[in-house]
Amino acid sequence: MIKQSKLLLLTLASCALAASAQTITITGPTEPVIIGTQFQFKTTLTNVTGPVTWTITSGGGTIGASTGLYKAPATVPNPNTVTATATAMGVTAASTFLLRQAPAYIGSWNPWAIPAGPFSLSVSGNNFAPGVTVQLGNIPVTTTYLSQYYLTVKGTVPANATGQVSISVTNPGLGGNTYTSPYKVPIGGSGSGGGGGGGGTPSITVSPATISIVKSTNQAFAAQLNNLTGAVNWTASAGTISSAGVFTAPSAAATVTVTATSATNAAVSGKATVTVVDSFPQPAVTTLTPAALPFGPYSLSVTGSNFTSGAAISIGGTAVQTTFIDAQQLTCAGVTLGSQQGTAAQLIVTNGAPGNLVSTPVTVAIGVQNPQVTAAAAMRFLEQAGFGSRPSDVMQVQQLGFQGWLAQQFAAPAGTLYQLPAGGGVVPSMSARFVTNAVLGNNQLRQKVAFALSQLFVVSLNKVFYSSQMAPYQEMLYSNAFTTYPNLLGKVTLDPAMGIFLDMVNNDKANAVTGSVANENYAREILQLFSIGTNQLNLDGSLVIVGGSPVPTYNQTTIQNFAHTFTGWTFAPLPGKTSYFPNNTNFGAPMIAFDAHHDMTAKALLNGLNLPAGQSAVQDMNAALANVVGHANVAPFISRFLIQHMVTSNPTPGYITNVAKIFNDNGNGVKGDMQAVITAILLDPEARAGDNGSAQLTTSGHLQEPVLYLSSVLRAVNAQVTDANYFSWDLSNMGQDLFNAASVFNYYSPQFHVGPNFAPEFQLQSPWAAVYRVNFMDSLFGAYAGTQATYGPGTTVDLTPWISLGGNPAALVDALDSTFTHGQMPAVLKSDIVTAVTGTSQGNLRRVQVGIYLIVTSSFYQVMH
Amino acid sequence: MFNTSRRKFLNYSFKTMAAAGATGILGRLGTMTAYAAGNSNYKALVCVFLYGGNDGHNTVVPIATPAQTYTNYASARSTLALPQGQLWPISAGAGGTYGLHPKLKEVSSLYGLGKAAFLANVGSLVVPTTRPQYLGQAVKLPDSLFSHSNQQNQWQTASPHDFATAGWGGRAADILASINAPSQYPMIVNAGGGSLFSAGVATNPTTVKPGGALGLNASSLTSRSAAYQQLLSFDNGLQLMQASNSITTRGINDASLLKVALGSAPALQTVFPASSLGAQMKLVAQIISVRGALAMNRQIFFVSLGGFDTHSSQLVDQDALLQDLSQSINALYTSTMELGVDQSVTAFTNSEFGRTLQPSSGGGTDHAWGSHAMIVGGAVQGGALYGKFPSLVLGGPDDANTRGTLIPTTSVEQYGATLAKWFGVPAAGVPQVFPTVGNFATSDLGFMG
Repeated sequence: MIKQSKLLLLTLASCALAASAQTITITGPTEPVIIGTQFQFKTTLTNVTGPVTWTITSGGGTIGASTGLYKAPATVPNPNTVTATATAMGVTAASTFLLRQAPAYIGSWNPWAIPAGPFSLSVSGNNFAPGVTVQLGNIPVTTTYLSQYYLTVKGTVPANATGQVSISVTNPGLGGNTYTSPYKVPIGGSGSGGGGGGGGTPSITVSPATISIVKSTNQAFAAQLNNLTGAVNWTASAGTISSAGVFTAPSAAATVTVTATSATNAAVSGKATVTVVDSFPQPAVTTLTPAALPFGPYSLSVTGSNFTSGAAISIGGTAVQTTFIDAQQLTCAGVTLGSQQGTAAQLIVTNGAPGNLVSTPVTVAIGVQNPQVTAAAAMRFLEQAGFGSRPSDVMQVQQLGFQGWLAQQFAAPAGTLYQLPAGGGVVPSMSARFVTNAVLGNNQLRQKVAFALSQLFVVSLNKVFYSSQMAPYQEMLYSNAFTTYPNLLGKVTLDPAMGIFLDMVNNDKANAVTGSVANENYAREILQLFSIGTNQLNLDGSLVIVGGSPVPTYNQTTIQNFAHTFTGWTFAPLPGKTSYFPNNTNFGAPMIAFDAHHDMTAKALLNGLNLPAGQSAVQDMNAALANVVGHANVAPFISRFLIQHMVTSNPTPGYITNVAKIFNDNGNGVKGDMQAVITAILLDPEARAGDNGSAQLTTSGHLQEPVLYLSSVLRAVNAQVTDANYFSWDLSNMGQDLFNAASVFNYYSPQFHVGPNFAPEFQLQSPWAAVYRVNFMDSLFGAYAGTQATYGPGTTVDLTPWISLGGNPAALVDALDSTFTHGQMPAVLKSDIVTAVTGTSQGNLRRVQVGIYLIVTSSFYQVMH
Repeated sequence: MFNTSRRKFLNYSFKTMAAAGATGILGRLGTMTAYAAGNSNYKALVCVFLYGGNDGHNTVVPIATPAQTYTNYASARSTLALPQGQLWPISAGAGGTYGLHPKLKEVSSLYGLGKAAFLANVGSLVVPTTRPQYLGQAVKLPDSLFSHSNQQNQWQTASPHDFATAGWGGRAADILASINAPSQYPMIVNAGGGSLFSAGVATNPTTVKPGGALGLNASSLTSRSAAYQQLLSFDNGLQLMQASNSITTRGINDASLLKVALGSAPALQTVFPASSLGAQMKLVAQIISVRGALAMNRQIFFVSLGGFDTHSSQLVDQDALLQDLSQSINALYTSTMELGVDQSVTAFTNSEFGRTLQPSSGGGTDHAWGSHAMIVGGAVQGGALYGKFPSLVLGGPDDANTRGTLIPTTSVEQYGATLAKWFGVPAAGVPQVFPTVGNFATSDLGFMG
């Protein structure tokens, strides 16, 4: 202890006395260190006395503190630069070097020579990595990685090609290398030519044949003697070269020829070309487009300088799928996770060979900064308020917040759903267009509400046969979706499509001659299905029970009185035509009244209302609609229906009460204000329970009906869809033949039960349909050969952004969890899916497909919750 | 004139069909025995649900009966009355002569052969009910009369109250489940869409669609298949997820059993109509043909035909529907002959309600109550009309109001119990399946012998 102190004092004193600089000079690696190998550092000390202490101050690997023996890590880290620091007496020196993969090299190939035409070449060697590529002269080839030791290369030798071509192999990614075989591949003709056969023309092959190195650095060359023996003499047109073939580049940029000449036959020589550069190109990033990464799958353009063909982009330390465009541009594709939204990450470009240099990191923002709500909550909200969570909409919700987004949706112009451009009429397939609108349309909330209304006020193609007749009705629901319930009920009642469907059009008063009386069809269903239901309800949706029994809201006499009320209406006259009862079919305008065909007798309606005799059709209609709208059942009946379609099959009485109160009075004395009702439904604590993984009732959620299931999946992956899409048949098989419900009772009933729970959509989920759903998802995501493919015409799904995660199943499943399940997938599911993905050996695309299939077919996904 | 020739043809066809049938049965006896091996006790019920409310008034028309004649019908039915000359006359013995709808040609033949019967004026009831009792609300009445959805459920559950959660087919299967042991294939098969009829307390029906079994897409990826199975057992407590997993699991298992069994199915010679109902009936026949491979002793099938809610254009619409029904139910019967199980398979119609006798504006009719049902099969005591045919007087003794809304004279429970007894539900089990059948005079209407 004392001795050491003295020694320290002594050395400090000598330091102080020394006038000249104290330095440590490190002898470090002259080329990248191969992963899994060791390197012994040495130092030269000037005016410094040891001992020297070694540390790794950045990058991977370990170093012996006193020995300076560096052990490189087993895999190439990102970035792949390492700095080792030597310290003695407070003086430090650092050595920065690169790590690289074990270098790929080619040993041999078979067949040695390739005749003209298509070929398959087996290449053997070592250290091949997945993604490895072979360059065969300028013949386009595809490379298949088989193992560390074997590759297959396929291509076609042009018919008139002869001679030899070089063969190189390039490992991808950070620290990957390119190795060019010293031998060439004879091509064309009979397959003879240079190479290793005996008895041919003597020659010398120098390897590497071409290389780029930095000025004043060394490069070893080797000479292969063909049909020749003896030593070679090395010469270089600039710089110096040793007798062993170690070339030292000149101190300035130049192109140098290195020549190996046979010592026994000066006429035989081989050459190599060396490009001496001042430095290897240092990649630099100037612009990112877009400037910030969006939520979910993205494609990013990176512009800058000095990019090489092996350049790879990493963001936040994760390698992403990179495409080299040119030295000034790269593009990449990847996925940002919900958990990353509102953060920033470092983007780095690492050039491949030569040099493997790394750009200065640039910061890229991810998602909405300072969001109002999390991405997870926004996704869940959009599943309730729309047709699934398209990433761009998630960002909009994060930016605006729930209420801001609702205001934006309420205010947005409606536009049309099924009209072709100017004068073109109606789309040929409303079903196909529905899917297009659901997946791509920005009016998500209006569409969702209109679709719910179309399942409340049902009109089916089984009686209103043509799109040209159905489309105006659906447009009416869509354009009125944000008005009021009384307005909607009135519009529905006088709509010609509904008139046809439930026989109110041309409904005539009793006719003593024919013996016919008023038609009861619309009278019954407006009460049973469109407004109040069969039994009296409390505000919370429960049945009023008197003496142990429910209390009917109406009886057969009530129905007959409403039937009388709804007589005397026919189609509006076609333009320019005289009006008669009945008029010709006209789907372009609401029905009109003819009092001569209206039953003018007195009518007893709901709640003791008696319409006096002698009222006109219009007077009776207005009074009857007001009578229906005024019934106490309307608020709980309609509120519950809309909640079931948007949020949960089993709303609690409290939830129904909250919404029904707003239904009865929006705060300004207006009943049935749809915007207020929708807002109340979506912002209720029971709807928001479950956001960000918070607790929710075990009875909550609802099975996604088929079209919602389809649109949710497509929206999550940013799919592109056109009206040529193919889904009508699938939807029909899953029980939802769009706009063609079996009857006014819709595709499924709000009363349908599974066990003790309401489960409306389960009415479609037969065991057969359940299996169909699973197979449908297999077809949608499983049948692709390429990363971007189509499910029949009109649908494009691009899985590229997820592909580069295929090598890391846990990261891939995390990304898919974020894409489909809000990043809230339970660990047990995740682990099952990671196991399946890990066990999938047919490449990264297949891994992505397997991951998606398992997630979207799980009950966790199918039951929106 | 036309009428006479029709009658002649009808009589002739009865005789020739009977003769051909006998020869056919003898000729195929050997084959039949082989198919039937292992389940000689086999029985199947086929529920044919006519969604929308079939108009019974134009299904079976009185022509000359002790109580009334065609004229009574024609005057009340007015513009919707079928011309007498187009009807297929059938004899109800002492009950007189009735006429079947012109499109029920095949059914009229089966009736003549004694393989089809009709049950008059059946519907949902709590207790026997008269017009004065109905008008005076002196007895309990079924919930939500005249509503499609409620009355469909009441027919399918054989309960006059809303909100029953199991159907009578399902409850019968609950009681008889052990008879099919150890087969894992469900006793009840929905070929005509899901139905409450088929859902038991413990029994889960399966679903089939034309085209054979729908199994899970094969995958070469064993890791994917294994994980998929794991995912089906996922349970985080959310009850609708549990339901989803359970249904999907059943779908996969049922399909794999059926797929194997259908591999041994004989080619059916019977030609089925190219309609949805025809395809459903064909599928039923195909599944019956592999009852041995499925190890079934009892099966219940549910098929359906929609479109009977004829508020307008009834004459045109019902024509097409009844033609499809007649041809399809006849094809099913023919196929049971071919398979040698004609004595073991009984098909019967259900429909949520009948329709008003009085027409409505638009050439149709409105929702009513009682209606006539048909039962077809070799075990049926056919060629007879069961139940009490109602009076067709508007505002008359069987009318609930003034529109010819028939108050049923036989209940859905009685109808179902008669079928269930034949199917093998023991006497002690009948009140379990039909809790209110005791409110009526008998639980066996006699049409199954």
